[in-house]
Amino acid sequence: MVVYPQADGRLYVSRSADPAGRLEVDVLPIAMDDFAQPIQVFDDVTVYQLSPLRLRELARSGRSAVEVLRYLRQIAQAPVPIQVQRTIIAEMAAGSVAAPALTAAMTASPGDVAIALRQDKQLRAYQQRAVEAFCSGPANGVIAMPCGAGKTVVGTAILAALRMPALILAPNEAACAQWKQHLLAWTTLSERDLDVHADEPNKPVAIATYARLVARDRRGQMRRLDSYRQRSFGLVIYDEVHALPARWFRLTAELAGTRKLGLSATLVREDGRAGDVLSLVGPVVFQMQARDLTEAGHLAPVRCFEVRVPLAGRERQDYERGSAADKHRIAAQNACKLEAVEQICARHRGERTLVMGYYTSPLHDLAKRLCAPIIDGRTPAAERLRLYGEFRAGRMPVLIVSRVANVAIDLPAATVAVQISGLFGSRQEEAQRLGRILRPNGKRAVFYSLVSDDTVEVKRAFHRQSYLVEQGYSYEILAIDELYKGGWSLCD
Amino acid sequence: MRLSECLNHASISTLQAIARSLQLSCTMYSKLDLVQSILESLRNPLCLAEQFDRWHEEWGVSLRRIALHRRNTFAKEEMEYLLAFAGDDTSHCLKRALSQGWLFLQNDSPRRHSYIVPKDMQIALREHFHRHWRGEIQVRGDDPLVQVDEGMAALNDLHTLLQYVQQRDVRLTASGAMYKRHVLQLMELFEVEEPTELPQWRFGYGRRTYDYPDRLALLYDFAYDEGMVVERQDERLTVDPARLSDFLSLGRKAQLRRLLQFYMRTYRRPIPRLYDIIATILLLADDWTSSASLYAVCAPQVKAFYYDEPKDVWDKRIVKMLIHLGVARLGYDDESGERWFQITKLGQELLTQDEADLPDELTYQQAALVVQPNFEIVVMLPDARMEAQIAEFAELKSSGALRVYRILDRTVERGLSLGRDFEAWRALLATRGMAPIPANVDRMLAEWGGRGGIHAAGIGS
Repeated sequence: MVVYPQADGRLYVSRSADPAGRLEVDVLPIAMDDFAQPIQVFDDVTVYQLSPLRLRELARSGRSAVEVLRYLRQIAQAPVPIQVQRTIIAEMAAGSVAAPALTAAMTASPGDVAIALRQDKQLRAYQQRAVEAFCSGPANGVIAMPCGAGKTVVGTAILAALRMPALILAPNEAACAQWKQHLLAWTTLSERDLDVHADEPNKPVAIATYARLVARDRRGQMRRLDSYRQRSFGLVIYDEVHALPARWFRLTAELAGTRKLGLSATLVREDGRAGDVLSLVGPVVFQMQARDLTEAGHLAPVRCFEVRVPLAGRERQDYERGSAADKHRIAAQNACKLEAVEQICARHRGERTLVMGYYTSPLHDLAKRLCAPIIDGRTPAAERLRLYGEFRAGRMPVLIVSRVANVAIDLPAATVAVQISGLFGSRQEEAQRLGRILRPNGKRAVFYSLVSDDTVEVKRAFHRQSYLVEQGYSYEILAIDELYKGGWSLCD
Repeated sequence: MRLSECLNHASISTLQAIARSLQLSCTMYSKLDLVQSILESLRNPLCLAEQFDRWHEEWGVSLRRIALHRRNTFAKEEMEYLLAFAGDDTSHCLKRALSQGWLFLQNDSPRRHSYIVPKDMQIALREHFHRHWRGEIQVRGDDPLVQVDEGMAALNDLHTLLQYVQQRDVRLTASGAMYKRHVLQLMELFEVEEPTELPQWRFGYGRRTYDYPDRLALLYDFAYDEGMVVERQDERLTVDPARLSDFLSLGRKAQLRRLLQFYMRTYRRPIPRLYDIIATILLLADDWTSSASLYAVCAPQVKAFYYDEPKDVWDKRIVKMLIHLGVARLGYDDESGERWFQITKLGQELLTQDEADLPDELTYQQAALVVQPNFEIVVMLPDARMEAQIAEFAELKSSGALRVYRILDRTVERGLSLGRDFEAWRALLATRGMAPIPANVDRMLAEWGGRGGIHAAGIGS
């Protein structure tokens, strides 16, 4: 392993370019992941970024800047830039003077809630590592894993390990329902032990959405939040914490929880403020790359295609004349995309296919053409859950969803995902959507992204994909006629 | 000439004077006896050390400068000047020195004579001083926490400068300096950044010291001196491809050595003793050495230069520049604490080896870069010629231990509009790549190449 440190705090790690056969560094008590986090993973090179959070954590665990610098100098291919040295020293100094975190002593004495994992449930090795990393780590921490890697499983296992009264905060109703189902299936808890959206929670585990928790009544009082603050929880789980607005987090952070656990699929935020929420929750205690899981066979391997769909005729004229906002809408609603979706669905007949989009009217058109059900913002929660159930059970091969389904729904059987339009180049959304098919079902999954050729979408798509590309996936670009001719093969 | 020869040539009165000065008890009238007694005395290490201490105390800086001088023969005026540091009447000084056994009069012709320090005596004196300084400097066994080591950064930034001038239209002011905009852009691209605010009074340290910060001025002056950059009549800065190519045909360390020699030549005018100072540092600072104690040893050789006090000259013109050149590194444990100084391995090589003997730090491998799926080209093994080619269709994003270039629609467009060979460039990426070009990048490159333009494919700008 060879490291090339850059002044901006990036550390390029190459495992192949090791000209001199460097010393074996694994015997040292420090590893790259202790003080830096991977931000880009490519075949030959992994790019790490110095992480202030991890540096502070490392200092708290008793390591010194001297050790980190000695380690870095040993593996570095060139002198370590002074900026990097300064960051390491400053952050570790800050970490060692900060208030001592919760000690392991507290975690050693679990609470008195009667909760245990069911006998027949087994954690995968990395899930077990994540649980241990949190339980033996600082009081508060974030676990980052790609969709499908089992964040809910890890959260549940932590709950069972700590045995403390807990509050689970999820981004929406579907996610709440999923947590409830999961707790019932995986643990010895019964319905009687769960509060879902209770006004005054008094059962061992409470589940609520962020929105309901901070909702105001007619007089502008946040009564529910107040009553939750009265109760003392041993553990608060923040599901999909990266999607949480910092303002909400500050409100919910005042909940009396001894420990806080953030669960997140990605550490990327479009507003560049991921650091905010993450620093509010705590350091990243465990992180897993999607690609590592794919290689280990825990996630289905995925092929990503970008299909270039022509924009022609009347629509092209409107596009050329339209304002910037119109351009995006027209390109997104390109009628040719509907044909392309039909083509893709025909090709994958019989496979669970999920069609996702941003604008709802083309989705409704598509629902009619494909005779498939659609879930959008107006679909009642009960109906949503029913449709998810049908889809999961395999009774409906195609499901069309608007962006309400971006987060925290569990669709384990999807093997094909088609994205017909997206939010302006949001990398987070792309990761979430790809995550929908990154499920451990062993079957090869395919992700299609439809893009109107020769329009603003091409550029946006590039931005959206950049995140996935950095996670180690590559996109193949297909012209529409290749799709029709079938001149490409999925079998290679 | 050696001591024995000098003694043989000396007059009997001189030998008598020396014998008295050395307090020898021998017959004062036999030349043979005198020579043998003096030699015997000065070849006895204990006795010699005692004499050195005496002479050192008596002559101070003068003796040190004579000992460290590259020559051992001096004209009368020269010797008078050197001895004047001892602060006594010069003719009296000369007479006294000649009676001590380390300085001799040499008759070149009946009309001319010069002064000579026997070669073996000069070498022994040098060793005496080294031992003495070693006792004065303070060294440490462990490594300081923070280490400022710029390695080959000066050379990398020189290449960046040359590439910048090659790729951009660089305009010059009426006085022939680059506009501030260019300087700021360069500082962003450089591995080592300098503040661009300049003190008002600056001169003496090279041709463009007045216009640019110290390090950039040195790099620029060197490129200019080598004829690699040309300041044209129409106030544009360009690169002379032939001269550049000559320079790049040298190994990287040989290139850096030239830059170091240029520094020594240029800075020697304001710092006349620069060669001696660097020789002293090289001799003493092979371990982490307290910067203050090293300065104390070198201080007699460092003089003020106009607005620079001796300490400024030491800090800004010598130590700082040696660090920039990768010859030395600086260390400290906390920002306000003691500074430590050490000659680097690279510095030792550069200062003691000939150009032809300098091994390159990397054995060049065929593969040297990785094209990433996010359209970045990461250069793993620096190679200025290859990078100049890469820069035809890409731009430098960050420099450092690795240099990262990015491919953008505008950089490709620029290359195409300048008539560069896109297919040859693609072939370069393919042949020098450590891994195949990622499919998405390859696809886009094919698209650009096929269309001879990129309007339809517009990638993120």
